[in-house]
Amino acid sequence: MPLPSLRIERAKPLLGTIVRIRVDGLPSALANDIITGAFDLIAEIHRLMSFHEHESELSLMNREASRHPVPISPRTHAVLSHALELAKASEGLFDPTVAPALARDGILPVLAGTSPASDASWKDIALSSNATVSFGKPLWLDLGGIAKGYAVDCAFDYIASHHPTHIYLEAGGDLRLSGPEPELVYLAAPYMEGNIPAVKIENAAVASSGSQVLHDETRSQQPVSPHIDPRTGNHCRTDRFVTVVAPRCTHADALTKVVMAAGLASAPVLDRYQALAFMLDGTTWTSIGANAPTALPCDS
Amino acid sequence: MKAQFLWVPAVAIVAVATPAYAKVYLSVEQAQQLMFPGATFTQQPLTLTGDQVHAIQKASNTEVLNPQLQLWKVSTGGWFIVDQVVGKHEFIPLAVGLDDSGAVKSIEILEYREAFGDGVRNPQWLAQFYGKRNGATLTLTKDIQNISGATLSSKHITDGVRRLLATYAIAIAAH
Repeated sequence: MPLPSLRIERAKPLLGTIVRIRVDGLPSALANDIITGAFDLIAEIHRLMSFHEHESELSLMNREASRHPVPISPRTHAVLSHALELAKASEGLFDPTVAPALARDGILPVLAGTSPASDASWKDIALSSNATVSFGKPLWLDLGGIAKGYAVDCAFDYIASHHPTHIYLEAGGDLRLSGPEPELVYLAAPYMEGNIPAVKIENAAVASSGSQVLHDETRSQQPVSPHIDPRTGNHCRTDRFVTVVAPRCTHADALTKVVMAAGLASAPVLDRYQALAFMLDGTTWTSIGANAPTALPCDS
Repeated sequence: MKAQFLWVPAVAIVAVATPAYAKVYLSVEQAQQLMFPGATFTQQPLTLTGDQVHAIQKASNTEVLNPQLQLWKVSTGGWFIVDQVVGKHEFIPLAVGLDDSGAVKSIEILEYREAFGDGVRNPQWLAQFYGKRNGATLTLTKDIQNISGATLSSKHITDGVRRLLATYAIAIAAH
């Protein structure tokens, strides 16, 4: 009888949430070293791209990039370049410059110093090939909608280079896993008739977004969507729940914002990234994208 | 990449769930060895006085729930503390390693008893919702805690670590 494969699982507070990493099939000392290395990578990405921390590269850009080009590290360059590519592919449905609207809602802090231009968008960000960033007008860049997924991917790729049999990496609703069998991921969406919505995935990333904000975290009296439709500057609908499955978590994370804003119309963007989405509007689940299954079981 | 959407009957989930579910990640000894490899650990009995509790609460702006510390002196220098913070619903036990100067060296969550992240749930956690009326909405927090925000649990961990740093300054450094 084969020995059961060794499973090491640890959790640390990072990225403003709890990050959980599970690695199977490696000797425990090696697995622990790799998990520590993966946590360190995630911590580094957080330090570089935190909107809250004054010393982060992101904060430096927000203070200075509208006045002169700001040099950035390869990691920040990679995330920003993914963000701008997604913004272009989605025609602005993903826009990393909606921070002022989120600050208005109390979801992000108000930055001291320069006030952002009211008409600023992703198009005002210029990323040069020599790794500097310039803003065409004052704006607040926030990579929160994509950097968590990127952090998951970086940590995942690092772990995968050591060839464990399974990897499970989760950072507050963003998840990437690999292994020989499909795994069930339960969705924190409303359930019906005693049934829990779930996706079964294999070697993929999943990110989910809902709009039912906890009142104790935002102090708001009414449910307000934490998502902004960049086209209008208004909140997205509050009864929508979106799960995106994609090969990489960077894309799954960012694409939840696109589907949240555009719904069915987001299909071409999902297809471009080999992604698919399951969307709940009110009580009806729909699948979106050419890669998605066309019929969903027992829609209510 | 493969993906399939499905409904899992809650009753099937409950069948495999333990009611008092807690996921144990690390024992105290495992956390000690991860943070300070090869070191030996001497537990130091230390109960905070009323004045110290007051000073710590004032310095950290967080409440001291237990004046009795679980504290170890590390043979290679530094301190190891086991503590717990209030999560969304329950306590989260965690270990904090401090270096010689009292700076945080490492934090490990030892056990987790509640929903992780939020887009994803484990079946055991879901079991507690079984039997509730249809259409009940599970709460979500993912959306506001991206790289810059924080979930309630992670905020409470940050508060807890601030309290332990105040505890170090007020009660441990001179110990």
